[in-house]
Amino acid sequence: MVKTPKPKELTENLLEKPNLLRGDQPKQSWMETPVEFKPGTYCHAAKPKVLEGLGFPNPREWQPGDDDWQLPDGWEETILKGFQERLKKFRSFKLYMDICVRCGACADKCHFFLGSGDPKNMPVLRAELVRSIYRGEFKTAGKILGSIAGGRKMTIGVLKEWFMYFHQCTQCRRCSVFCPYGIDTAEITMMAREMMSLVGANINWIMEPVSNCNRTGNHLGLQPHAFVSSIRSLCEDIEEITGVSIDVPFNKKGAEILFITPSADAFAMPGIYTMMGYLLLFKHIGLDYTMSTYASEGGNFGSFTNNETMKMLNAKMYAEAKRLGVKWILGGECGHMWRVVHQYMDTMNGPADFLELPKSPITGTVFSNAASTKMVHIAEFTADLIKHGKLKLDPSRNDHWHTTWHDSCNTARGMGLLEEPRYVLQNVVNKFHEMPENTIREQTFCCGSGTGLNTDEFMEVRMKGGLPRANAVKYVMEKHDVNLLSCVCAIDRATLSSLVQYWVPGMEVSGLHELVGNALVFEGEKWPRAMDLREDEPYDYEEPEEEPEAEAPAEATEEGGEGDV
Amino acid sequence: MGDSQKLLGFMGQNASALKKLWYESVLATYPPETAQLLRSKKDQFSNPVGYTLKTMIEEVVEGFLAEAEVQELAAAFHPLIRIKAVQGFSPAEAVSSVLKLKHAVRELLAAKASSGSGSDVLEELDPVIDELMCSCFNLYVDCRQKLSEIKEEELKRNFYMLLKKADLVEDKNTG
Repeated sequence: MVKTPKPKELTENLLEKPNLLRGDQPKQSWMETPVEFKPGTYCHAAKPKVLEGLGFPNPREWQPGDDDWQLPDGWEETILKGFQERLKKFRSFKLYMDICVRCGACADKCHFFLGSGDPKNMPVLRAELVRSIYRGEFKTAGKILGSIAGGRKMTIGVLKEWFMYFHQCTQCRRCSVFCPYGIDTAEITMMAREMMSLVGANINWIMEPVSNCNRTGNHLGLQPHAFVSSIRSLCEDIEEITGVSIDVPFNKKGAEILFITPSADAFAMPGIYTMMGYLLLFKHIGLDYTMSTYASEGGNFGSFTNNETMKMLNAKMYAEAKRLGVKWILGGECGHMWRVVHQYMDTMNGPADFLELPKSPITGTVFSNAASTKMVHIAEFTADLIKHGKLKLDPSRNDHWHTTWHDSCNTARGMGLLEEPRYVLQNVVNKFHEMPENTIREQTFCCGSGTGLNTDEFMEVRMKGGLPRANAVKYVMEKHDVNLLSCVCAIDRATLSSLVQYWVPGMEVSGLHELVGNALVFEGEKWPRAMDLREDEPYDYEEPEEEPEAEAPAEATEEGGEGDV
Repeated sequence: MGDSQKLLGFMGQNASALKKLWYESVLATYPPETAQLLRSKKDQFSNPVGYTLKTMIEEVVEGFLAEAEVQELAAAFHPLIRIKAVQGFSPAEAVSSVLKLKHAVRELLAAKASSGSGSDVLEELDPVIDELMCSCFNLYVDCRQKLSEIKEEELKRNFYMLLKKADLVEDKNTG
């Protein structure tokens, strides 16, 4: 039963305790203010069976809101040893610990800070949560002078702070764009998450997809037949909508290209419409490709835990390319898959010498930018097809959409994919408006849910983290009647849909290739169609008049007169 | 807003001071480091919370002076309440921006006590504040309810093809 406060308690709460209603503020500095885990402000802890299966330390039943985190004896030493190992192993980490001058250029660039107003979400202060331990435990001045030299000791309070705030960083790297020293705060978050993994401070929404991906090839843990069945079901929908019949090749040895995309494109809305777009495109150009039921996931949640796990999941895609004997890999609309491929794959698993330098079989274009990874982004591939006039497109088929473009952090800031998707978009739609300059391209605002934070129990934090993005989307909706936010990332597609429901009701979200799919004109097809790929009815379609029923022949009415069809 | 000539007169004479006082009192609900940045950046995209607060105060005070209906004034509050509803504030703290307007008016009246019109102004202000509070509390509850709906709908979207396969969705839009 709910405990109702007595009038005396209410008086105490309202009049005697510090109260924000009266503008009271915490008396301590940020360093002494402890974190408070309230429901909605943290992601659930990783389940023990998931950690056990992956061989991660300290599997147990616990939650971040518990007072006792059930950490193993000597956990502080484990973290500090891990800290020291990483300072030696990763030169960038050591550099980022040393060179920050706390100029504050990054302070107001983080979407979590802008949305939450919590100073510990200023990138400089978030990094300081780790840097203070670096000073206090490893630097002479910090060891002797403690907080006077900005140093602290590793305590349970600090670990809880790390858990709270390094799960309020989506590694989007917007702050890094503004750092005069080029400090990549995302890599500090990666190190903090690695160190938390050493004592079992992991979240389930990251670890379970990692485990599933490791066992069955995709985040949901679906087995090959479920993957195939889902995509075949989408092919049935495509045929019903467009009249185009598609037979997707799976695990086809000797195909020229292996196509890998996030599994959300096979199962989740609105990703499935993007999948339909890919399949229509491949049919349109007669591509010799295959999908794999084992590399059935482009996403790499391993990159949100530690570098070994990231490497393992990335290697799976290349192992499958080798097994199938393809020439190169075409990658779908994913965010962090591309971050991993573009920035880490070559060091971890590359170069992929057993594959060939990617060359478009349709245009002959050689993608020399993918010389080492042998993996081409589908936006580059499609832009090249359009540039060479290989696609028959009718952008008016998307006239029910007035679009804007969300630059996904990993592909935009992470790999410079800024022009190609815009080129594709503007060839498949007639109506397009950019969001304000300081919210797009290199300065794009994150969806607020990346790096494995896209879980429902974290919705409140996701909404405030996504506020700066939604704020710009709302602006183009009100100013230019934009009604579709398009992007090339599966997490964006899933989470921006929720974000706009809260902040910009009426806005829809799509992938790029859904719009390509709508615009593709096939030989001999009936137009207008009754529906677009969403099975909505935006076209001037008229139901064909039914032919008058012919008089039924006498024998058809007889029993057994109609054969099976 | 009915007969509120004293209130309008007072607000008209003190609009600028009132806006400033009210703005600072809402800013004070944030930690000082945050308040400083919310105050300093003017761009609506670099500082969505600060901009929303500033716009709200401008619209509400100007709305009062233009004798806008209470519902119009409440609508001006809503963007800020929508933000506060997800910023970890308690329900009371989230809607307290309305009370801070009353406190700001009281403070200004106290500073100008010699004018002697304080109680008349407050008498006219109180019913408006009451209505604004009720409207903002309703919106706060709607926002929290919306969060629950969004969670539910996101789950359905994430597993759409599986639910479809299991015949658990009838229509993509209604679930």
